Amino acid sequence: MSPIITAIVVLSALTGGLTILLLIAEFFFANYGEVTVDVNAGEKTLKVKGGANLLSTLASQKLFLPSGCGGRGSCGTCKCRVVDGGGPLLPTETPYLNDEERKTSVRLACQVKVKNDIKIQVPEELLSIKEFETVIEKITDFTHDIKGIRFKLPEGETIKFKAGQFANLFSKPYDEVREETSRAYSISSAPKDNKAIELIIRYVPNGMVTTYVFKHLKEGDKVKLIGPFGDFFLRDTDREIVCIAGGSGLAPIRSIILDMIDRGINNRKATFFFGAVTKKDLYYVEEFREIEKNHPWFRFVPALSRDESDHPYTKGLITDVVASNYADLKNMEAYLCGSPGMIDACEKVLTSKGMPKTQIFYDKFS
Amino acid sequence: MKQTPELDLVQSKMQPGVLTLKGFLGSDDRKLADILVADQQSFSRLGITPLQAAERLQQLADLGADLMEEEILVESRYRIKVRDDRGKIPSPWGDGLFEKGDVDLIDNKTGETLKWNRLTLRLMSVHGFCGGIDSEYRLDPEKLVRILDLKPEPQS
Amino acid sequence: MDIQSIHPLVIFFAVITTNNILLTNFLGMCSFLAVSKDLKSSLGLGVAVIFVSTFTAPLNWLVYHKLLVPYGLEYLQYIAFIIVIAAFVQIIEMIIERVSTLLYLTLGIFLPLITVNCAIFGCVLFLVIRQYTFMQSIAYGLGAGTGWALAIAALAGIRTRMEKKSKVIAELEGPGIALVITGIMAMAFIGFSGIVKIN
Repeated sequence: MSPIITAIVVLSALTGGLTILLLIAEFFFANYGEVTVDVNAGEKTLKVKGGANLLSTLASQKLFLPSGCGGRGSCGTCKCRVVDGGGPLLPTETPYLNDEERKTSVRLACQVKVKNDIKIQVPEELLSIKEFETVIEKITDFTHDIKGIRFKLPEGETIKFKAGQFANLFSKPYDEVREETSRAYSISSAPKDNKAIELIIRYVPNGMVTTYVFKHLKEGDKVKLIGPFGDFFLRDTDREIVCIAGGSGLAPIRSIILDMIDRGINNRKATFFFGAVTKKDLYYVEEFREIEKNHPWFRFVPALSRDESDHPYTKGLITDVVASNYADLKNMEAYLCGSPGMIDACEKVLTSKGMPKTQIFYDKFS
Repeated sequence: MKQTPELDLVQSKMQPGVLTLKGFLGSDDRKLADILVADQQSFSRLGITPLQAAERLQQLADLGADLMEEEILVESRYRIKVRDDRGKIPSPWGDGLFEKGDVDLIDNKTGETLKWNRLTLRLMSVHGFCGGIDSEYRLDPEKLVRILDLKPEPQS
Repeated sequence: MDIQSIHPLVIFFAVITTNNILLTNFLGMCSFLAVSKDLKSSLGLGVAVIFVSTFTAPLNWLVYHKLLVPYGLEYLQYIAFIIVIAAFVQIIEMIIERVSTLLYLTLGIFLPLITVNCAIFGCVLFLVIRQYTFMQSIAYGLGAGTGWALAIAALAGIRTRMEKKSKVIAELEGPGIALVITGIMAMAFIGFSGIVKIN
């Protein structure tokens, strides 16, 4: 036989033999078989194929832990308590955990590999989080950089949430963005309107998801939403309510007010202060004025900060307007939604008027 | 500086569409190590440190911050608009999350503009990374000296 | 003296002590210097190297003597040996990832780098050049890996101790002082050379 052919055959045989050996090894070592994930001391037991990380393993079983980066180990949001199993703490997790969390076995779900049976503890609400393949029913341009979108849920599906909670919207790969990404947006529709989800989204220049929403979505498109998440919701007390929001922060406040109407809660006064720059930044004004007319417990106070006079609304900075409306906030509750700066400024004003910090609620997305 | 596997990983996270839409490198196709060395040399030549520049930029951002994101004229020279967006961006070096919210600066004196956010300031001050050559968020050392009138700090 | 009459056990002990593949032949230095900062990962890497060298030495002996020589393909030995070593490194990677994800992450790039670790490749080439028998190559492979592992563990121990007790000048920190220490260790081992003849 020609020496070249011999060489080729021998090398191929060697490589082939080793490949078979590798496949056998992979079958034995990389195959983790079926493992059991025990959630909340037996409340839910999942039988899954081992080998993947905890975050995606749970997601494949429709149990969604909140995640800000999609499981890449860059945000620290997917924390959960691993009571038993899960292997040792990894160096990729330590930057995101404080001492208290380390002591109580809190781990980053996207870094924990599910190799054996594992017992975890997650907040109760997570067990009612669902994934929805929605269809865009309507897109409304509220202002030059804010859109409202109504997403219709698939036939037969409903969402159960508390007014004030948020959902994660997933962008599909587009342009240079090669993987799906998700961001959180507060739900602006009422819980009673449970066959749809309405979100209010503000465009962020160079934002990965808002660019997708503003430039690539149209009515009729399919969009994946997961939710509900969050512990921003109306507390069950009798206290008077002060709501303050700006920009797209109007969303959860609208949901809360509509929910109060649906549930017939009319014994609590509620005032909604909405801060904007000019009248072009206002939206849903007619709807809120209509609610004011029909429900005497509700008052809507839009405040415009720019010094112009061709409008009927209150003039001034939102924090100043709130301050001038109240003397003593000791017995009231506040619900804030807006940018970090606005929330800080509002909290200062409210506490300066005597509102205890424990009665101030706001959404902390990340 | 050698391009280590760690820098390769950081550079891969700086590509458009991974952590941010446009990425951190613009169309710069140099190795990250080379970009860092070039800017490090610029800073040395100009006699200023990245920390010095970052502190001044943060100071301007604090002065230009407005509750309603309106443009503020700072020190009679800089027109600054600070966005207040929710959410955080992860650092490509994996060392934390930083609040979103771009700062746009227009220098009335030179007419030049700068754009930065908390993450890009941190990348400059801690890692010496100023952005790819034509990145929207580039904090070019020479440009910074021109706009911020930075002077070499006395050696201790 | 006829090499093939040396007892395999002699070869095994010799290659750990008097003919240490790292301290006497200076093979396998790169991962040695980089990973020896931490004792735990050094031991982990050492065990991985032992596994790879113990299996690839006799396997490559078989490949050389039963596959390449009969067909007159000795010139393919470099390619063939590297293919075998690469496959085994893949297998040990799978095992380590399964058994200890922490070790897997800590070793990082140095695990696949075992493939081009000159100590392993050198071990295989030596057994061909010195024309060892099959049993001798098993002993040699096991010994070379063990010797390498002991050397890296020793260096890790020394470096850990030094970090706590001595002050190293800034210019020598890291690879600098590691090479100096390795040099001193090697000099001590030179004293053994010639005591046992295995080549």
